[in-house]
Amino acid sequence: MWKPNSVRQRVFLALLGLLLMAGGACVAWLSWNSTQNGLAQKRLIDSFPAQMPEVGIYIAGALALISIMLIVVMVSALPRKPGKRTFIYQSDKGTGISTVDSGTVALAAREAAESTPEVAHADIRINGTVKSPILYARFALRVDARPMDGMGLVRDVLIPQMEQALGARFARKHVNIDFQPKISGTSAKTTLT
Amino acid sequence: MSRFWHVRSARTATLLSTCLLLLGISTTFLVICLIRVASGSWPSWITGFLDSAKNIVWENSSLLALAIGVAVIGLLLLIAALVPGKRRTALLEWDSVHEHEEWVADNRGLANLARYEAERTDGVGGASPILRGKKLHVGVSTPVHETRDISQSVQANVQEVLSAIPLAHSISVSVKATTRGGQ
Repeated sequence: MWKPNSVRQRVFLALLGLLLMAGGACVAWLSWNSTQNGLAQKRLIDSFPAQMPEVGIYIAGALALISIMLIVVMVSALPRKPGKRTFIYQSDKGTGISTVDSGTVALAAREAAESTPEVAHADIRINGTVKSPILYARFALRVDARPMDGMGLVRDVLIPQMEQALGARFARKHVNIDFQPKISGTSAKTTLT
Repeated sequence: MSRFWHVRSARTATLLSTCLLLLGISTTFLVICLIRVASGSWPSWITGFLDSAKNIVWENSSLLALAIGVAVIGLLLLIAALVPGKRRTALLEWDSVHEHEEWVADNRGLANLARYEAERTDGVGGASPILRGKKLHVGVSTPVHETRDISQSVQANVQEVLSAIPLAHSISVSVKATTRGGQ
């Protein structure tokens, strides 16, 4: 259950592309028009405004900055899972206080889902706050079960039961229904030899 | 409501490979520059390259080719960033932005379901469904020479099972049957 930082990745990629394109085009233009500019026989290294070792310090500084920026770009644009933060719901029914961790509810819901014949695999995460929990879930249903049975189970049974356990309705639900291919077992067909 | 599942494909591999390549280049040159600044001389393994680089003039054709290459790579990255990717999920009827509910069906899962239904049809040896947007194409192989009836059966079966799913947009099914392995 990964969330790709799609927009951020595209923005960074566009900026990198623009920088490379602009830099390459600029050098290509200068090189192409070097005769008109009087640069034809001028060495590239002589175009720098400083000489070694000063220019080395400037270049090292710029490269260090570029390296740090690239690391920041990579780390911030990596796909990530929904936050692992769980919360404890507390209910006071007069006879005593009971508490439940949202992570436990998610785990119990996963196990309950996977124990049904319709659901092959479930991945459930609950985060948010006590008053407004958020659900991220992916249910892989078996293709050999009727699709609507599995989907109805998820929508009408599993999710309401999770809400009941949490004592609050989900403020947001992000549910993905998948269908898992049937794993072929030993063939029951008779083979004529 | 920001969506979690129904999003366009990201550019993780492109961005990471570009960043890692640039990071490798910048770090290598950073180390070289730091050695030069600290010791006063270039590392011995780079002197050959630097000697040839020192004499590069602006009208050098290799420099022009390199610059054009970099510009083209930049253009490709820009195109990769701007071209909208495909979504890998289909919205369900239950999806509601106002109620903050995102309900989607995985496209690969729908294709798996179509494959299962197609392969259950009498006379079908194997099926390979391809889901593109709202169109599902199912290629089936059959040992039977007359494929019209089988195509119709597969089309009806797959369409029926997909119609049972409350998809926000219906998917049209087309089938192409090919004879394989028959006598």
